Amino acid sequence: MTRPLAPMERRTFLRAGAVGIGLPLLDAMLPVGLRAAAKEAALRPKRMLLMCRSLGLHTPFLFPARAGRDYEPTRYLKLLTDHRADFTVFSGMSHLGYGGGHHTDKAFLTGITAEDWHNRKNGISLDQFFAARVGAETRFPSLVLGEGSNLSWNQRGMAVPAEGTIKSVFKKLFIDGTPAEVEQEIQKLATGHSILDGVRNQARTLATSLSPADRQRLDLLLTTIREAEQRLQQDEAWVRKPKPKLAPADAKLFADEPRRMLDRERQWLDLAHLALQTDSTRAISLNLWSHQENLQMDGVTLTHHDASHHGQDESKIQQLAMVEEAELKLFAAFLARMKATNGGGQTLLDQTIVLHASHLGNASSHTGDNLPIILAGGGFKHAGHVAFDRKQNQPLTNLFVRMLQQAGIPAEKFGASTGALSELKSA
Amino acid sequence: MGRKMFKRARGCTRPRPEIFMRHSPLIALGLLAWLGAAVRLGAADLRGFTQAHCIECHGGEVTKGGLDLTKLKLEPGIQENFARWEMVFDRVAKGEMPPKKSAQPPAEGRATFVKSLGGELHAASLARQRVDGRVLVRRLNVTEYETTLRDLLGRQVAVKDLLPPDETAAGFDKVSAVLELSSVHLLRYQDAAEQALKSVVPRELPAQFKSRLTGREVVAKSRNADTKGSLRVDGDALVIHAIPYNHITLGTATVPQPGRYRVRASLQATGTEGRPLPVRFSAGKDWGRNTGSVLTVRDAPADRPTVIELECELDRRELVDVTGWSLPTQRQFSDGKLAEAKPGPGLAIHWLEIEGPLGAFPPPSYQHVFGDLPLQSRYKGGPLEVVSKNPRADAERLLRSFLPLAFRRPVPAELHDYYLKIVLAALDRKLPFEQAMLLGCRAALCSPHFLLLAEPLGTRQGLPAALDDYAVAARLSYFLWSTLPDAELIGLAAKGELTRPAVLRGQVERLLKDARARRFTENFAGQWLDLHKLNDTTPSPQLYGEFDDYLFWSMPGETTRFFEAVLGGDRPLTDFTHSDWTFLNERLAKHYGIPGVFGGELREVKLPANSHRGGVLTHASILKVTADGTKTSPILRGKWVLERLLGQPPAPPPPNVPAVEPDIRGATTIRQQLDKHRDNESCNACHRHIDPPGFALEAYDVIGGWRDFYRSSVHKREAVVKLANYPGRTVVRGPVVEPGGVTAGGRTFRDLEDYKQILLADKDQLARCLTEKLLVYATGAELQFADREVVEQLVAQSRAQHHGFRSLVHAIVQSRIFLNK
Repeated sequence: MTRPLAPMERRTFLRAGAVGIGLPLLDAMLPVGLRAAAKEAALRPKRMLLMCRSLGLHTPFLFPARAGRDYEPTRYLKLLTDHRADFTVFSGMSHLGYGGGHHTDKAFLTGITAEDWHNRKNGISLDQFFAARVGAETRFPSLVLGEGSNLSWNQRGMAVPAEGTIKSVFKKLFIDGTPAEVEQEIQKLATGHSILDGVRNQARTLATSLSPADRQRLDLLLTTIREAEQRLQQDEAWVRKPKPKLAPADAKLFADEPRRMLDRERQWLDLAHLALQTDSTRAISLNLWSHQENLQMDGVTLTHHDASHHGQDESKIQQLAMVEEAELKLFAAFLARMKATNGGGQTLLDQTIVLHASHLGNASSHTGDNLPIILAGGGFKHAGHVAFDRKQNQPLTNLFVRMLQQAGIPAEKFGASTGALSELKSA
Repeated sequence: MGRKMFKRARGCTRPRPEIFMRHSPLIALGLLAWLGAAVRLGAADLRGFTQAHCIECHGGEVTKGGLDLTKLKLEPGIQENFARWEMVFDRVAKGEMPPKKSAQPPAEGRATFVKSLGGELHAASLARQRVDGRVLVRRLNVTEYETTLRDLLGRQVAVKDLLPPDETAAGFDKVSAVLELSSVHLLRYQDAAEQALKSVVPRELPAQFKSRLTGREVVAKSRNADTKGSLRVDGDALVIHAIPYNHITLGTATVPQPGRYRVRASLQATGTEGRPLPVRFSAGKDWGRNTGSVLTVRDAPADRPTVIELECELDRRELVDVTGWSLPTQRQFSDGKLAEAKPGPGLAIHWLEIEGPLGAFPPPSYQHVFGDLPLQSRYKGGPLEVVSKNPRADAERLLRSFLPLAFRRPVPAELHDYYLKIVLAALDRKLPFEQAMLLGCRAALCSPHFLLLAEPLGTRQGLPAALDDYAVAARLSYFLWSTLPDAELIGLAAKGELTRPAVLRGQVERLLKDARARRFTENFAGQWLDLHKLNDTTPSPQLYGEFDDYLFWSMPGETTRFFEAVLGGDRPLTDFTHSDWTFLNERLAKHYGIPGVFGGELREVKLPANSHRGGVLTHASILKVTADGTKTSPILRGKWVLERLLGQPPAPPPPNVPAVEPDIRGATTIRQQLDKHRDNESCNACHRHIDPPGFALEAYDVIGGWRDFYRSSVHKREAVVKLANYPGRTVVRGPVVEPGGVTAGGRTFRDLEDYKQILLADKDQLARCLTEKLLVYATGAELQFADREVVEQLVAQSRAQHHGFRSLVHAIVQSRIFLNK
């Protein structure tokens, strides 16, 4: 005789270890008796992975000449041919009025108005906005990954710093502590609460001796303390639950300490993939940082930074293209892995809105218009090449609004948006 | 949503895109005009002026720049309103408004208006400062935080990487308004404190270690060292003729414990024709050196073996590696058949000695937390632990000294009890004494009293907004030492003597003479002159093959030693703009083409005529940070000069203007492109100010070498030329550099020498620039309108003191701005 299985805790399944985690979610984990539609929806949470390339992407090799689905693939897009139906490339988009420069990466995911940009007031970034709405369900509300400058900002425009190195993030995601370490962690969280209590009391007492303007700042601190407490609470909810176990083949991807920029980039992408696959988080920002290091690639003698600032020197552009081609191959491999992961009758890629883009349209002249933008997955009906006016760019934030809507967030505005992008339909 | 978060290199808080120059001589005149006026005029006079001269463009139907003066009331108590009027003030005072093409007000009318409006704004600004203070409560920045923890808990503390990087404003990471405290900070401070406290209790007794190795023994213990060719054993000495590969170390014995060690080395230069040889000392493990681990460079004389002594911090199992830095690398040595030639220059190592760890045990950091409590291990060879016979009484006693130290002022009983309770509760839970104490300390290090510089509005001597003595002590030590005040400062504060002018002066002298004053150079000069960005770009090895580690190491040394010499000797701050002296070693001297400098140690050198050097603008370090690895940009360098030396930062470029696209193929120079750019009047409005200093600096390449022509990346055999300062090196000759130009004021210059003279014509402006930067750095807030009068007083005082830099630092500390909240 068979009877319906009781809902199995997903982590229990994941702990089974060597089985290998092909699926982020299984039907058996859902409460018995959910209606089919609700069941399907629950199986298809939306996720976001937002990547920024710190040194742009040579757009003459990226943007096709023709708009639409039947574009002729360019040098770079040829590398993504296998995924042609899974992504859209946009030309003629940017954050309007920033004026370019490396430092515009700070507003790349916030898309604030030009006025705020020039007044140096940042806002919340897309990943954090999304995480604030879906982040309570996972161990990590969001993951801020990568190296270099900050991409993620909270609702008050304060930096949400990166989690750490590949190794430390890997450990946080997948390595369980010993029982003693877990106990220690629990104790530490409790201490954390009591320290914050003390901070609150002292801030209140301290305020009485300070000026009115100082007191306002300390009021702000009280809000910040509440945020920190919420984070501790979420950690407490997860601290006793075992972390997902990786298939040996997946764990092996991180066996070597990466030395070269490209190896690091591959590991970051693998880490993002596994974090999404195991539903450890649903919102990731990833800064693909590259600067002053020897790339150790055949035929490439320049550093990535130097090559990207090519000054129209043909030999430098060729070296740059070799670096960027290698990176796009990594991206193609990442897309392939996302497509090979299934859950709830969908691929993980279909559930994940992947933005692969840069805040620089041309790193050599540091321009911030006509940004290179590739949007993949996410359950969109992808449109090939969507070409906007190269002189009067379309606000990138309109795409952000569209992405939020696709992710089930009823947003009408984000940053400096003027509407939701209509060129992209749901599949 | 929305906070000020972005890096700012500009010198002002207020967004004022239309305003180009911060303080022209005219504004200075305007300022002086109203400073002299004790009488404040009424709002009616203002109205009369704006009616007559402004509202045609800024009133009613036409409101250029969104400014409607018919609607703008004078309510400077409101911040928005204040900012608008301040802009009106600046533009009228500078003569920018009414615009040149319109009818101009009579000089007297303008002066009256400026006087009247200035008086209103000053009064409003001062009133606000008396209520709120000009410096709002701020957290320690990451550098201050880590330095403070190190001084408190031990030099091994490394917590910088745990915290998000700081934002800057007005060029410094000290400004309250942008030092935000996020929830991430609060949580990571907990981790950082826990980690920092781990190093407080030394776990082992210092085992006195001393070793002396002869040169022969040095090479014998080195792995993979090859004694053939580049290494020679001569008696007991080792002679090095090439810099070994990085994985080979030739140095002292490895030390068993971390700590401070004394190294003594008996060294001699050989084959150098009587000249000294620069010796590089670096820390490493016996399987290789880390990059960037150079401890120091010292000179080995040629005539006889000489003992060189130094002290350094080493980690467990580290050693000190010794090599001659001007020697060829092993690769060059092997490739160039030098091996077969007669022995060239070499470094003879007779013996290397290392001894330590030095210093008291237990270290002062232990005493800060655990006082005189003994350390003991429970079993032979076990880790040391703190022993307390009376834990509850010890906790109470130790916190009584630790908390005021960490909080930088006396601690009220209530606050003390709060931490004592934490420790006692932990003891009740049967935690060992040591852990209970550390738990209390950890909570204290997360307290706002530790993390924030919260300056109460004191009533010292009945002065409104005056800081109390403890706040002055902290401000002073964070200004010059980047750390918490020491016992002497706190002692003077407790006696209420610190703010007496003579005492304050004595303390500034004491602090500046202390080794910790190096942090002022590191953090103030490091940010003012961008030295901390020195490693941001790597020179293209194709274009700049002469760039090497030795040059890279020498670059910042010139500038920091120069800064310290100006500060130490009270030399005129105009030396930063131009000097006939600098600090050089042989590597920099070779780079600059200056003869007669031998050895690797930096020393003061009188510059020969026509050396093209003098002042920070000619330092290789500054020329490197203002360029990328391939090319120079007159725009970036010009902007740098305006911001850093002249204190007149340009407005940011207007939105949606494409950048000038650089082209290094050799067909057009950046200058030709920019000349085209400036044909456009709207570009020219700013670029006539920005570009000229940049043009003057075009005669210096991306690594600070002098050049008459650009280098081309496209090989052409007929264009290959020799590099004057680097025999044997060639480059491809590109277009000729044109370093001349015309300033915005219409003065022509042929080169940087001319341009520097133009800068020096207004010494007050150079002083004003540095005064403002020091004030921002010293106090942690950008300057406000009411501060302008103090700045002008300081500039006048500086002029009277021949612009001596140390005198300026003293004057700043004695100023109202420094001593008030």
